[in-house]
Amino acid sequence: MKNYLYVFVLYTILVSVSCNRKPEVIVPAVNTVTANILNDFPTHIAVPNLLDLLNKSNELYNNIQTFVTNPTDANLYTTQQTWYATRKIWEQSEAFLFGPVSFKGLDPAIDDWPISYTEIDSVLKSSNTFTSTYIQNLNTTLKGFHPIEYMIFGLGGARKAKELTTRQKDYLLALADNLKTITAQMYNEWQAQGGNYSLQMSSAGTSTSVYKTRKDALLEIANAMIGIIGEVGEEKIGDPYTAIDSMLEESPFSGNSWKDFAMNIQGAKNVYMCSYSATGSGLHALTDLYNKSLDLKITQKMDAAINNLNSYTTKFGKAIYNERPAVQSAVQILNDLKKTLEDELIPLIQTKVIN
Amino acid sequence: MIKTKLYIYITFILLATTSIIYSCRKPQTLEDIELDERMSGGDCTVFDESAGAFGNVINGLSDEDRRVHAVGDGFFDKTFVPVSTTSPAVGLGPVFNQLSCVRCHINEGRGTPPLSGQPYQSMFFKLSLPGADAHGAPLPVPGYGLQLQDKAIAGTNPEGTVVITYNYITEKLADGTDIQLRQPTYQFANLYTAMPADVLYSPRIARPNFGTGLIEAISDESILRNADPNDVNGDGVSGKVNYVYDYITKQGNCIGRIGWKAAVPSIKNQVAKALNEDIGVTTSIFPIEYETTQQGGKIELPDSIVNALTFYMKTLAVPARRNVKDETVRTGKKLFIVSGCIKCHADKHETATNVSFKPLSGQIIRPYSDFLLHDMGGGLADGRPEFDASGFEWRTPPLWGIGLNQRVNGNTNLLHDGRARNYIEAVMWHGGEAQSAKDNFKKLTKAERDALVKFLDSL
Repeated sequence: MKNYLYVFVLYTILVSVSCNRKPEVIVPAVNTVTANILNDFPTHIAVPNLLDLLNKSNELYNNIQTFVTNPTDANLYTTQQTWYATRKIWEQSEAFLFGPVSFKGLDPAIDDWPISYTEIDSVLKSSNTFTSTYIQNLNTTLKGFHPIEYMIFGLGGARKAKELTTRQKDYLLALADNLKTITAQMYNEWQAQGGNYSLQMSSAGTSTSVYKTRKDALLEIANAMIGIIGEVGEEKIGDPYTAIDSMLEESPFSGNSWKDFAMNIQGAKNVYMCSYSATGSGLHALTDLYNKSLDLKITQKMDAAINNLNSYTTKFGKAIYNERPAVQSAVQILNDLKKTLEDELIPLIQTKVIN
Repeated sequence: MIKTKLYIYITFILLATTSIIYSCRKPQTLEDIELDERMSGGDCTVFDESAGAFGNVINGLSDEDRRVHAVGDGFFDKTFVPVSTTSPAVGLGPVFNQLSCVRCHINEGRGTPPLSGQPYQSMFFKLSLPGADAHGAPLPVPGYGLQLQDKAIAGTNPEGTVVITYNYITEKLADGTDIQLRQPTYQFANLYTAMPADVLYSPRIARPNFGTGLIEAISDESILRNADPNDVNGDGVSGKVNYVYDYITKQGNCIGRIGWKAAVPSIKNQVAKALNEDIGVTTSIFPIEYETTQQGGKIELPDSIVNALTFYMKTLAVPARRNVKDETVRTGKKLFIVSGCIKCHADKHETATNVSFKPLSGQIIRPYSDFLLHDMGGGLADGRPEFDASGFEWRTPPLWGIGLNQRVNGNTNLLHDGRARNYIEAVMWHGGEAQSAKDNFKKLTKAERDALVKFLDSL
């Protein structure tokens, strides 16, 4: 009799495992968490970061205007410091390069590199007037942050005010004007009175949003964050390191590359923690809900990457020649962080967030 | 002992019964088997609905192949600079349309047409004179070549530009609904030298790159199966192959598969041509700077990078369909079939067996295109022949991924010049061989149209 029972149990198991399983019960809190993340991302990260960028770009323009009017070394120094400050904010915002900033090509319009030196010389030698339309129509390698950097820092970063010609100063001022115009457009695309891309995020999962589900919107945020980490490791550091060529450095004149890289990863951390000028609910809250050890691992790896990038004292352009093992370790730390996010955070969003 | 045998018999009977219950179906042919419809690219499908949905690598690559894919990916994004500047990506210009591949194919996706009177960034204009060269290719325009390059490196004049404006026309559906269509008009401007009066031109929006490897891998038989150049079956839809010239193998009579008129036979031809014509970069395949007044002969980008870019394009995965079991989507699919759309937008193809590169080999894919040329009527005609494609004919564009266009590229524009702002406008521009399908569409009720749109959105 007992054996009959075994056979019956075996049969029951066989049949039952072949049936579809019920979907996993959703943790009720996940709906609240995902709603909070998507409400807070625009209000706590995208809009304030881009507003800061706009304000700093305006300040940079004003300081360059002052320098052009009164070209002293002190005024040049002020423009250089403002360039660093503007750059710090921009690099953080690169952790969410999606939506209109991507569709409308606004990112390369202000941050293309390497700049085209010979073409800049050609532009300066020409008799073209530096109108806003003229600058707008220039190739992206001739405008934005890096040609401004080239003008105010010079090759080797030892620029003196008196070295700049009138023509160079006119070009510089027109470039700064174009920068503030484009950063204003970036801010406008996200803010409620403008393109209001914020609404696309906060209304994700409804028929009015481009994001059919909240999961889609969360993946957009996560993938953008992973994208910048990958770009820093594989391209910004990886390309000059592999080619052993400092001409491929992103910010070679100001010697700011390590800080650029650190701010990119800081931007990714801002997004993950939803923390910029104020703190809200970020992807961290979702990870924390399901996998606290993964959350800890991600934050520790982000901190390790930022600390590592901030620890270099040798300029990046020299380190790729003289301190190659150290540069290689930066790439490895970033690759490791990226892999964790790709292999563990993305699947968590995909499996735990149902819609 | 007897008891043990009995248990074995009972177990066998129970298992056999279960097996029969689950397997008692009529035998099916391959055509009948409805494989998972989500798998638009067969094994080369990826489940990604994000803005990055068009930029994923296919499964099944070796570590070495993934590295080559990554190198190609890097160059796809790189900004090219003139030869006088140091960079791995040198050779820009002297005249060009964009500084990098990604500037037109943002997120590996579709270009965006400009608003009326605004400059264009992710499209260009093909040019030619009437007639064809020895290979059947269009004749270049003296001083301009086969494409109008609207940008140039500093110190060089761009060839000119085109001002695009739109007129608006209205078509009425059977239920009285008005559909507003925008009809583009084109005007050359700022030309650096005189343009011949008999110039032929054709606007082209950048196309998405994903799935191109599968399109290249489709067996010839799978494409030829749908061809009916003389409309022998009398259904009003012909469908012919564009037999084109391969600039790498130096052979003619090749099946054209890529581009708005299927004028390109392989990805490598496309990559080399785009580098040369769009960015102004010379390669071993096209070693002459494109503008006919320029001297050439110096190869600016090595074969290794051309090959990596080619491999990158070849190994971009196709995003999976969504909501395939939704009742409205299924209704929409039925309407897509009975309206006749499926006659050209053929759903299934098989890729050829390729033992040297298994990931793309023997796949059943659902691009929703026959990759053949069709007369689309006067409304869409560009009047510019390209090999066997007449000025009225266009290749059926694949529809896979179109439901993600808004997400990936921020717009839902369709057709070769992006004039259609949504699916319905695109259908309303159909004419020629597609007139019947369009007329059927016009008779649908609003609910049926919505279902058809929802089906297209699921692709």
